[in-house]
Amino acid sequence: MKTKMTLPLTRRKISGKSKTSPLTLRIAATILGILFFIAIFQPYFYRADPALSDLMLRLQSPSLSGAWFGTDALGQDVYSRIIAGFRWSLGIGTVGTLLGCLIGITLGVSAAWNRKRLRIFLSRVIDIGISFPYLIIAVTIVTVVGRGFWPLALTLGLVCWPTIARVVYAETLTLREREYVTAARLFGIGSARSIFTHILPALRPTIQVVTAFTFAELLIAESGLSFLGLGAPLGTPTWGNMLNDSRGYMVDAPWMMLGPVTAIIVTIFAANLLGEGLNAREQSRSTRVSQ
Amino acid sequence: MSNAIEIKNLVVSFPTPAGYSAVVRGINLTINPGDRVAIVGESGSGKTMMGLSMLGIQPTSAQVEGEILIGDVNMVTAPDAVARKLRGNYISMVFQEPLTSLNPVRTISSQLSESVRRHNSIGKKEAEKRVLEVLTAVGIPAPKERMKSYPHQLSGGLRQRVMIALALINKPQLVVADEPTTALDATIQAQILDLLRSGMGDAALMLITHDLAVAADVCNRIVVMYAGNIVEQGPVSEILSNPKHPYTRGLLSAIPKFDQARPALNPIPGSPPTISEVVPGCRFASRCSYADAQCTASEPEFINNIACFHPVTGAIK
Amino acid sequence: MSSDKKLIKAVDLSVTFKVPSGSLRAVDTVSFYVNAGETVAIVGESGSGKTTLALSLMRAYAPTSGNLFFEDEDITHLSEKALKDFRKKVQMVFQDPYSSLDPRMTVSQVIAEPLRAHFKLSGKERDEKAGESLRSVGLSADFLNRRASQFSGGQRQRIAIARALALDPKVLVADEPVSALDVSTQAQIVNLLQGIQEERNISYILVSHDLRLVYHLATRVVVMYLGKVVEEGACDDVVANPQHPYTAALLSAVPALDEASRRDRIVLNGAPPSPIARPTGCSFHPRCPIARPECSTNTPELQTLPNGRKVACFYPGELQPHISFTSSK
Repeated sequence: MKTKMTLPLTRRKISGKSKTSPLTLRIAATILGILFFIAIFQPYFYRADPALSDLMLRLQSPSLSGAWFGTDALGQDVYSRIIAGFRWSLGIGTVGTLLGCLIGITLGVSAAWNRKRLRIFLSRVIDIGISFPYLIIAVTIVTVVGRGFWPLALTLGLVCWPTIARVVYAETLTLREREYVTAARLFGIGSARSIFTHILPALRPTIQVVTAFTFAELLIAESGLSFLGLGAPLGTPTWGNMLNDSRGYMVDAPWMMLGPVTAIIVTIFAANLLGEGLNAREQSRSTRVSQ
Repeated sequence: MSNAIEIKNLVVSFPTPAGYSAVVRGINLTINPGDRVAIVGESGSGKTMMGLSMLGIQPTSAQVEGEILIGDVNMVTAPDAVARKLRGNYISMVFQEPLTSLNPVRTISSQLSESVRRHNSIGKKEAEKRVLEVLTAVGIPAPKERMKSYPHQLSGGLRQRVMIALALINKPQLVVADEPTTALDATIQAQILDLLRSGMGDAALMLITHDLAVAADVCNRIVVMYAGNIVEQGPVSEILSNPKHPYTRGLLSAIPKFDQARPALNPIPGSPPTISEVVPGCRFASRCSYADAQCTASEPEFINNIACFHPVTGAIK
Repeated sequence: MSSDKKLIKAVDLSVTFKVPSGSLRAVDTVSFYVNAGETVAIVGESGSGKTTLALSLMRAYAPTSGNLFFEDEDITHLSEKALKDFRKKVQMVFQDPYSSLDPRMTVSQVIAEPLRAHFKLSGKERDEKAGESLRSVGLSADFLNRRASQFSGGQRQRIAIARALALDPKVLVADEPVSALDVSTQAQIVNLLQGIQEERNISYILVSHDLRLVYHLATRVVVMYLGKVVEEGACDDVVANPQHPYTAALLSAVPALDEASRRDRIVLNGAPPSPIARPTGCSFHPRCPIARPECSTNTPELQTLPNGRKVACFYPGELQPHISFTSSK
């Protein structure tokens, strides 16, 4: 490659942090792996039936011999309910993210690929999507179809796609101008094929990063919505519901809150770490290519 | 002070997965005051890294060894404060792409006069007088009006003139110009080459370029680099009419010429070694038609202006 | 060997782009043709419209006015679907072999891409064809499964040429095909392009700013300034005896290996004006060393001189550069 040294008269750092990325990635992947493992094989991790309430055992503090994370106001085992919450939270996050990706990537790529009115129209749609308050979507859906897994997943998908679309749109705009994309057109290759052979593979790293961060965001949103009573049906063991239940007992039984909060934080931390790791890997790859 | 700069056994290396690899592999070079020296080489020859090291502005991951002597100061070991003082004042640089080297939100005059005042204790008025003087010297038309412009308001050629003005403003002994015309159009390149040849005042010039014709156009001495080494050097006429190193000869016969017979070009086969590639013996041997067992067994030393076991004589056919 | 069969022909072609400050006429009523087997060079500086012209000749842009013909068929307004046959026969090599090859693809995928746009191929057939193409540019077929990003600039440009040749085109458009390469590999690519032309009788449209390269490769030259053709003629003639002062200045600006051409160099003032704010009269007059008052008011048309040369100047041939021809004899 032609040397393009365009340094200002200061020292510039070229060395990337390529070494840190695989480690972050491995840690994040390990944590998420464990979490998904728990979500899938959750019955094996139960200490007690998460729905079983025993009013004789209500508000017990954590102990190694009894309930590890304590019990709640209905005498349900907090630990087992957290485990039960994994399936709900991770499931909702996954489905919501996938849905958001599907809508976001489709709209983002189509908006950027087209040159004329369709682009203007689609980018307005994305703008509106971004500025749309998600609580209104949530309230509307819950009012119309009621509470439950699928309504919530749908809500979250509808909430997160605009961010994905915006990122994909911007990236596609630059990718579209790559010479090899122009070349493909001049060879007589159609739009659809060009998108599948050149644009989408090039978008993959970006999409991976955005997906990881979106997943983390959706976990927060899910807990928030459940906490507000717009998420899981009452009584379902989810982290948001458990937080909601703990409101009245914050002083008497803080473990009711600490358990689910820890689970939320660990999961979100892992998802964010995954995003960071993927991002760092991509950065170090692209600097290596340009040198 | 007899030399503008003296480089002794300069080695610049970068960390790679397999340990440090040298981009510049032990270079000795002296530039005298008023000299116009061209460093000619392909990408990967180490010419740019050598230029950056001379100003002490190599990337932080680079490891520099050897001596770069400016007077009695060694740039390699000099503390930052000393090096900073020499940069601009004694040695300065012109880059390939002027737009990214100038501050986009400040006027030409404020950038230039700041540079004057950083190195001299003079007033604002006086500094601006010097700015006007140097802008006129580098051939900027209507310099008084242009002083108030921002870099993006100027054409590529004018920006490069401003860069040269910035390099010259503190009357340095040596200006290092790294591919200063590569980004410019043909007719603009001709203007800048004229300026570099005859408008540099007392400053010596080290022109880094990949183009032998550009080198011949501007300079009086040519230094040819290949894969981190100097392979040949000499006065321009000598290098052009009687090159001795097979690589220099290869470069010359690879350029198309205005020749009505249009003889086929003689390309140098293959491509240069990458920086991490370990090459026993002469680094050019694998591409050289004169190479023999000796060339792959040991590396030729740079003696009598050439680093080759089998220097060639006679004109290029 | 060239015959008089016009493969690509443009008549009064104009291409206009919308820009925030109005419209930019990048190509301004240009007529152009390329015969079978010949090499036509389009020469000019940045902003001259040379690359835009080359791309419009490939119908990368829809022309604003004028007509484009391929083998006597009017293709000016054909849909992308109807252009399929044209796309097969006209291929392109880009300047930068780093950005013109998808870094994620293997060499085989890169080379087979144009093939797959036109034929259904099995994986084996694809590799076979790609391997054949790869050998024709002097690379080993062992490289087929490596990624394009693993190769040096010169090798990548060979791969790009192999890709362009895969469909056995009649016309190859080469936009600065060697200027991004190292000097020592440039000559390899130049020789390769020459060899291919001799073997396959392909026509080349060469876009370049390097007049020595143009002289070496081209049979005919078209000189552009601010979107217009200012001079056109046989390569030998134009270089030996330029008629337009801009051509003379371009020739004179070639960095020279000899003292004499340097001493007598014609150095133009200033830079080409923006195509949005075109000067009145002759576009070149503000920079022209021989401009007269009338040049700023009247626009010279592209006229044909008795010897067949075309030039758009009121005072053709007045300004002559010093060029040192070398002789290999």
